[in-house]
Amino acid sequence: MGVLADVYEMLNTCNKCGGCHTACKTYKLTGSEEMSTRGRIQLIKAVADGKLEPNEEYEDAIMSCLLCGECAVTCPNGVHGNELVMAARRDLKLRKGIKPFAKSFALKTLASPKRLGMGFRLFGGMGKSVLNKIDGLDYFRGIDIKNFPTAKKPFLEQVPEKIKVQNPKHKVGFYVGCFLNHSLDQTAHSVVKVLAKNDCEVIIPKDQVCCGLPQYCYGDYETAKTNARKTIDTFLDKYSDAEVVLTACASCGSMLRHDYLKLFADEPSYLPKVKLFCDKVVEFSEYMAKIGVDQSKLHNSSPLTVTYHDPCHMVRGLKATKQPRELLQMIPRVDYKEMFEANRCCGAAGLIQAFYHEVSTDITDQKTQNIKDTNADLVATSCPACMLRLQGGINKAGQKQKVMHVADVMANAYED
Amino acid sequence: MSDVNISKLKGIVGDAYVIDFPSEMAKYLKGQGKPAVVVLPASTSEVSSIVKLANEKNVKLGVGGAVVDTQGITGGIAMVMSRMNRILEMDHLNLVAVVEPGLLHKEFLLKVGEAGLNFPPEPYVIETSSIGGCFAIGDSDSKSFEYGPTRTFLLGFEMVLPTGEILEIGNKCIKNVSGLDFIHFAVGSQGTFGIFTKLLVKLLPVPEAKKAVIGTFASMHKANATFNTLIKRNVHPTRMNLINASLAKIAKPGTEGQLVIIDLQGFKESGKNIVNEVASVLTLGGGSDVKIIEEGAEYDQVINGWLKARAELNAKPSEIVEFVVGPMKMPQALSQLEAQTGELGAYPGIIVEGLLGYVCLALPEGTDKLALARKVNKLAMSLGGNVKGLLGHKLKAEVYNDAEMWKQTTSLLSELRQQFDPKGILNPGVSLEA
Amino acid sequence: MLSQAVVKRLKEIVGERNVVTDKVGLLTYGYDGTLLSGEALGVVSPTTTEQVVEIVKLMNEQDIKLVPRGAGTNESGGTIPSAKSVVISFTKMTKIHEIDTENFVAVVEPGVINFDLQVELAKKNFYFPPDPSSFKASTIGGNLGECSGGPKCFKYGVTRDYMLGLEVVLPNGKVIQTGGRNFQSEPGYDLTRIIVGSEGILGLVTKVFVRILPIPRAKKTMLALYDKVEDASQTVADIVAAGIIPTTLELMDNLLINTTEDFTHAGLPRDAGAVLIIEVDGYPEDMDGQVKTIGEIASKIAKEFKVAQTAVEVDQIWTSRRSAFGSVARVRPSYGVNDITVPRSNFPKAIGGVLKVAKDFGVTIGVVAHAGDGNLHPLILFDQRNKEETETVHAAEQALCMMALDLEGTISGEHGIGLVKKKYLDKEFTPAAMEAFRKIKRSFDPSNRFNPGKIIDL
Repeated sequence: MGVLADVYEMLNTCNKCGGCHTACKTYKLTGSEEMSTRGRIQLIKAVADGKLEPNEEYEDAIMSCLLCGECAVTCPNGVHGNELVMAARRDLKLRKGIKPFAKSFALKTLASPKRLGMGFRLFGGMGKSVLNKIDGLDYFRGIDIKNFPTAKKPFLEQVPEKIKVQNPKHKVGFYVGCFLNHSLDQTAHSVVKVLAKNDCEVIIPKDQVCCGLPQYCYGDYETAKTNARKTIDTFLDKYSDAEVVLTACASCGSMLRHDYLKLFADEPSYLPKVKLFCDKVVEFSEYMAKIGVDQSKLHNSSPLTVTYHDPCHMVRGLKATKQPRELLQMIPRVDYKEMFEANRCCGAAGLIQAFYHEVSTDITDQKTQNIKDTNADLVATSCPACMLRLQGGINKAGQKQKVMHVADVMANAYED
Repeated sequence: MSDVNISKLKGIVGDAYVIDFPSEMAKYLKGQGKPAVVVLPASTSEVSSIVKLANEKNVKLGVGGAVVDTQGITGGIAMVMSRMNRILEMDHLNLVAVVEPGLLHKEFLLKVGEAGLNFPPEPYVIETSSIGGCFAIGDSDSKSFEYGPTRTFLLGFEMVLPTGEILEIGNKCIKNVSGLDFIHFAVGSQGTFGIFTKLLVKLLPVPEAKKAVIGTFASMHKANATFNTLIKRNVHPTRMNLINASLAKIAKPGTEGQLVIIDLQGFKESGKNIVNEVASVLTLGGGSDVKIIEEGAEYDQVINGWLKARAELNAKPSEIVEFVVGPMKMPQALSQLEAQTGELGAYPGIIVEGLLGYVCLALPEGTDKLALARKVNKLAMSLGGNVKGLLGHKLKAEVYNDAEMWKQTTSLLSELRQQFDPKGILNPGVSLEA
Repeated sequence: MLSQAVVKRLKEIVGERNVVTDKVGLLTYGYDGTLLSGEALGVVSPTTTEQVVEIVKLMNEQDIKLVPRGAGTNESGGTIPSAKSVVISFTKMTKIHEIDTENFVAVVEPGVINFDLQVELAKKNFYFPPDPSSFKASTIGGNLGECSGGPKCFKYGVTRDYMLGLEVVLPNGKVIQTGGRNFQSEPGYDLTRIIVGSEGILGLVTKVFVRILPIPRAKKTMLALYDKVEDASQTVADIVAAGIIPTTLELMDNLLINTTEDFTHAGLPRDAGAVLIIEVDGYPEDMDGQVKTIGEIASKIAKEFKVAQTAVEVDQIWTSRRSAFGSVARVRPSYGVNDITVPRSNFPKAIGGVLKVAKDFGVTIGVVAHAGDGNLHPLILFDQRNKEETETVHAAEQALCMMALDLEGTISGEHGIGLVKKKYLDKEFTPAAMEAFRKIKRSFDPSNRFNPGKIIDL
């Protein structure tokens, strides 16, 4: 009850006006009130009031939230539906642990670098060759698994701990994150390349771990804290010469910069250090825009129509929307086209795509259509999870667009 | 023998206002029925007493503003509302008026005009239409695209129910969703729910400017094509009307060909450009004698001409067929119509209200109305429309071969009527069966 | 509890996923925008007219009442489940069948969200004038049920003025069509009109033909700031007297200026007593003259008058206005929305009346108003956890309604009656009028099967 009591003021401030309906994709696409922000809030309130005992349906309502945060922006009362859902998940965790087993297993795997690495290698090797033999299984729960990229070996094992440049102007610590490490290693290389081209020395700690966001989102604050502490200590103690902690994953970025503060709010002795760390966190586009990019070094031989998808954690977490667009438009011969609802969730939403795949697939389909309407050749974004989700959706719809990280688009514009 | 108690009637309204000599009654009556008496009440309580009296012996009662349709009231009472013709209030602050139903529509327009205000609904028949009748019929007209149909202008009323009870409803608020919307539901009920005895009417400020453009065309098709051009150019005047050659002579004596009347109300500065745009479209579209008319006597003449032509058709509802299609579907509608009517210009009367996609045909003598209506309905339906009114709903159901739906609709309508008038006393000539 | 057999048949009609009978699901269909709540036996979400017909027949057979529901954003309690009822939710009937701009008509299913229709229309440079503040969430079916208004009513009227025709499933399970797809009012009983605003007590609408209009070529948005609310109402009266019909004359008092500023940061001066948002639309050539006249009128009393210069400024002004309701929760967590309307000439008196109620009952009231229409939304602030305070608020709400009636107004300008105001209805209407409502209800629904207990009792 404690967790819900802490947010009770906010629960009570919801006046059920329904204004958040428009913000909630799971509602818009299902038309089901229990899949709406308002519905979830009222359910949480009923649990807090002791009028409802959490059951399977309640858990579904709480777990199916994308945590995209749009409701928080929309509510004129200042009710943050996503924060209430987080509290409810924490409350559930405290009540009975994380269920079902699959979800719990997935979260544990993500938290451990060893297990995660093993998982990816297994999937990339044997898993895929088996999958490829199964006809009709192109999309497992809406995820384009046959084309799901896996790094041959983790990015962290591919590069040295320090990448030096001539006349370095900056020293950048690179927090790689699980997706870039195991799946989209190419993007990680792009980040390094762009940084190097802009006179940044890159420091890549080998012993970095998952930021803890997935566990945090499902109420497992303990595991999240363990990983967070490790991350903070690694960057602040062992690699204190890094001016910033840069990430190319908006979700990691939002966790590192904002959620760590919340996570350690009850540890006043450690909090100053957390704050120091959080202040250092910067997302790739934010950083490039801040240090300035020399446009004259960018080349591009053929005209390219580009659109940009705002990851939830980028637009509502880090609140960075201008920088990636500006960077893209710096590239010669790029025709930038804004898509409809660019800042709305792509449907990936962490584990939602696996556990609530029907609604997630509908969301992605809508996004894919919005992309198609722009006639773009290329979709840029700032989050590897979005990249994979969007590319899967585009492939499934039979569209031609390529999805890339802003860093990839920029890296391509530099001569090798 | 009639059951009407003449002496009691005289006791209610006074001897002078109970007329039972057929020769004197005639000017108040139309149609084939033979009511026993004409009565002219002067107040709500008199109306109520008369209705209660009729209830005692189940006497049928027909109501009219200046003239009563006698259908279904043979042996009954014809109630003429012309003595209840006062404007009880003209409220400039709230832009509303309280009017008695017997006031002639044209008189009301005059008074409203003098007060510097505007009441958009057009009179049905210029000389005899009353304000009560205006709302009892509750139609739309050629200005409705801009101003909304007649019902838009009713905010409330006092009504004597078929039982003699008095019902008051509504207020001066222009926004009111309290209760069920009986206020607007009563509009168009043709006196079957009750007799209006007071009307609370919404008014508007006088348009800042008025202008018109007229022109004549050799063919209806060419004339109508200019309407489509204007709609495509996103020009939406107040009226955009077309009268065929036979009827045009009534609207504007001496007219050769089909007459187009474009009316612009309220376009103060923009009107200067729009009239020129309209005039060019008419000229380029093949119009001759295209003329821009500024506000004043000539403008009034043009509009009155339109009302006259319109009234010509309204006066004989049994001899017209009306249909609607989407405004942009009008060219196809007119071409297909020609197969039924022959050359449109020569037909006894055709009116097109271009913004509304509305056509009214005055039938040549001896036409089988239902047969023509069936054909017209088919062509209208193929263009997303239908014959207007209850008849249209009936014909639509026929086309869908959906007798069930038509049965449902009519039984619902008669149930409603029955609820309000269980004895079937009031205006029995009004049919809900089309 | 619904019997297993009924649940099975419902699932056969609409599919497994469109029937809700679990406690969690039912809880989320038990409330709306009011403080009221109820619990249905089940929730069923049809996707076609045929399914609606089947549901109605089954419910009739089982003697179970039906409560129709759109997005459930209403302020009347019109969608609160009554005892022994099944909620029929239209949120899954979201098809826009047709948008025909050449003929000014769109054909939609009742679950289409007003905003979603506006988005599609805007692509063709058209719009649907009724836009209640809830328009981003509320459905066309819900707008129709409550006969919603919005800020543009002064010029463009309410929802009823844009309904051309309806497909309706009657309480006996039969389908009728009212009106048509063309803009033409017909002589005869206007069934469309009686169904609009009837909150689902007469029939279930399954298809709506709405009138759409081209987006005006030009519009101008203006702001006038006043020391006192009364001053703003003088400007309103003067504008109307000058023969100008603005699309919008929206008023917010000092409390609302401050709470919306907290959310939108639109730059309204926090010390102003009232702000009036004035908008005119039409042809570009007519704009300057109207803006000039309005400016002259407003400047006589206003402490500041300005014309929005950019789309961003216009947007900010409207975000402030649209967030007015919710934003007051920054002061107190709960608020009661009222919806009284008085004749325009009594508007200043109504403002005075609101202040008096606030004083008499010791409650905080903020006022948002569609001043041109004389339609006020006094928002009473409180905390629903405090039972005593909540009682006081209800008493204050009643006082507001009575005040409106004393000023020859109405207890609902655009929100509807539902359950919330049902108890005051006979204060506004005479017994004869109340009986007329019952006669209508009886004609449609003699067994009181559809949304029983809303608006009137049989």
